[in-house]
Amino acid sequence: MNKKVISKKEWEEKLSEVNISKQDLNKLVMNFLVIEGYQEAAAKFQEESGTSSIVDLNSIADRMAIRSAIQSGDVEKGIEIVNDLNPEILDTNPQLYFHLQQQKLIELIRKGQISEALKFAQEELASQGEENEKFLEELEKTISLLAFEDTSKSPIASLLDHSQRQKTAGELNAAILTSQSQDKDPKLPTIIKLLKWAQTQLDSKCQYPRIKNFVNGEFE
Amino acid sequence: MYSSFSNNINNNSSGSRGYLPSLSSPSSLSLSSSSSSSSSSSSSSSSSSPNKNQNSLYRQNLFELPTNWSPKDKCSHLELSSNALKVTYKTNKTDNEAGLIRANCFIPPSCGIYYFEVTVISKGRDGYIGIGVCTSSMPLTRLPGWERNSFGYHGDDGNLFKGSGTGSAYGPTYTTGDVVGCCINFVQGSIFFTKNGVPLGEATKDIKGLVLFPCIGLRTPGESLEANFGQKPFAFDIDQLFKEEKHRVVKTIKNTNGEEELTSTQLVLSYLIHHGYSETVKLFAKTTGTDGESIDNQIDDIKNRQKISELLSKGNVEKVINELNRIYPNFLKERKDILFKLLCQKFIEMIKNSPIEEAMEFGQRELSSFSNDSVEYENQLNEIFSLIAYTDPFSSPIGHLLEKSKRDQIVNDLNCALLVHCNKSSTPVLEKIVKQAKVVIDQVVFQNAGPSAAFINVKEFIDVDDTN
Repeated sequence: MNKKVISKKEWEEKLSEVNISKQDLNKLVMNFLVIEGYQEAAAKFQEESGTSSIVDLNSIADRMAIRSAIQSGDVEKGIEIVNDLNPEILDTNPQLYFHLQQQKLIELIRKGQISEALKFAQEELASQGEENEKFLEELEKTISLLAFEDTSKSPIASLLDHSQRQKTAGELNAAILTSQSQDKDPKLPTIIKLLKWAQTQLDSKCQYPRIKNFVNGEFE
Repeated sequence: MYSSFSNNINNNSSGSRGYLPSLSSPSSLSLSSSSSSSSSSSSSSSSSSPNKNQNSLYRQNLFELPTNWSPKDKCSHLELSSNALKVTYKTNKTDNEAGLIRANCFIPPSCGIYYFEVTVISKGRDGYIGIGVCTSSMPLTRLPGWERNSFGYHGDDGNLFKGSGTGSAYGPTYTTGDVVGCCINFVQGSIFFTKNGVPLGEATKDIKGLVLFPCIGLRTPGESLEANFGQKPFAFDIDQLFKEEKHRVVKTIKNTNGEEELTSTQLVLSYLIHHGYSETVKLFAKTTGTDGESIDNQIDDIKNRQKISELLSKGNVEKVINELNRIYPNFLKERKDILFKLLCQKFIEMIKNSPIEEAMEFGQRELSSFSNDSVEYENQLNEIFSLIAYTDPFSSPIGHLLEKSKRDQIVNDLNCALLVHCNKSSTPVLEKIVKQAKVVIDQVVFQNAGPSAAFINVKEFIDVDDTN
């Protein structure tokens, strides 16, 4: 089947017909800052942009402390605060608990505490791996970091990236929000998912300027 | 489908939805929360609106739905009422031949879910009635379900017919006074029927690729049916089905997992930089670990733009121009259009705050020469100069020029121009992403690229006050 071609010019006209105000985008940004727990940034954003938050910014504090602990590599402290807040969160969420333990392992490897890392993996993580094949796979992957003298040369060096911490912190944050029956998903990532999903659908029928880079907005 | 009709009508008549204007069709199908009153209020608004009107709303809104029976696509044994909804079997031949009628258009798969109902006005002599869907090639002398690619639920025996003269047990029989519905779900690729608002279970899961029309068939004298294509509320709760299907689609989308969170962090950061929220940039970059040299290098530029924006939104145009000349020496020389806007705004501020003579003198000295440059400038000058004519310019017909929103507009224009001047994009990527999402979703529906997009309303994904 021949795909319908929509020209760049035609497409840009359609884009320019979409009205979205700065206020709405500001709200979208505020929603992200609040749900992701960036309390200080949210407060400052409120001040600089005049966008008010529908949630009490103070309620972000606990989530924020947890996030900052994980993002600075102190997984232990993160777990401690979560358990103070509500021990059920980790009890009822084995995958999250595993990812936190995995993050802890990564931090030990990062610090070069090899024997501690091995001991921790054997004593704390191996049993979880036995119960779940996917956990085992991830555990093996993480452990294999140890095989490289220069871990940055490992094919899975990305586990050591800051983004891995952010991912783990995000997962924990979402679990806490769910436990407080707040909307756990910020709107923005969902919009990106929506766009990816919709572009895949449209690909079946049309050739059009699709966005390939979601960070800089470049078209294909 | 009646809910969709009505939502569109509501949106259109109120005209209050300036925001993402062409969202109405898919959004209404997805039963957006903003139209939560649909099921109750819709009936009145749709019944009071003629079909023609609904139709034109849909054409403009990406697809067209069946709204009545087609007088042209009708067996001669049948008589059609003037509103093209009521059909009666007329012939008195002894060996009665079946008569079929199709709706005025096919059901576009991109509508996601389609539903219509038929009330049996009279079972006539024998009540040999069939209700269902068929393709355009179905002969007009057969009952729904008897031919290939047609599906029909028959009243006399309650059987289901799927492309065969022999039916299979499906539901109860139906007769005078009963309401029978037919639902086509393009997401699931399935059809089910209802009787008096009760769903009777899946009839088929085999409609992929078919172009289907609502149809009914009658066979004995006196049989009479009246259709409801959404003009009136339905006996069956189709709204609930929409909600469930929508929920499934949204869940599917949310469950895809990529790097969206990281991407979002970067989008937020670039958005903050774009609008010059320098302190938020610093804090956010630090907390997310995205700070570093590239942010440090930009922070001065961000602060400059922020300072200029703040001055301008306070109406201090003179200082804005001084700062621009100090920090970006070539900028105003290259962007005469921006200089013009700033000077116009300065004139407006003077109208508000200074003696009128000073404003006039400034206008003559700094602005009037622009009118030689283009007609557009000339027109704009004529407009703002006419402010002088009013003793109370605030209550004049052009009082809007004095509002704060006019300043905000220029703040935005200036900020974009400065970004372009510094080789940055004039639109934040975040905004591009949102706009692209809206246009792609519309096109998926419009180009019939998938039935699920009908349930997606980009506005709902953006609207943060919406607790849905």
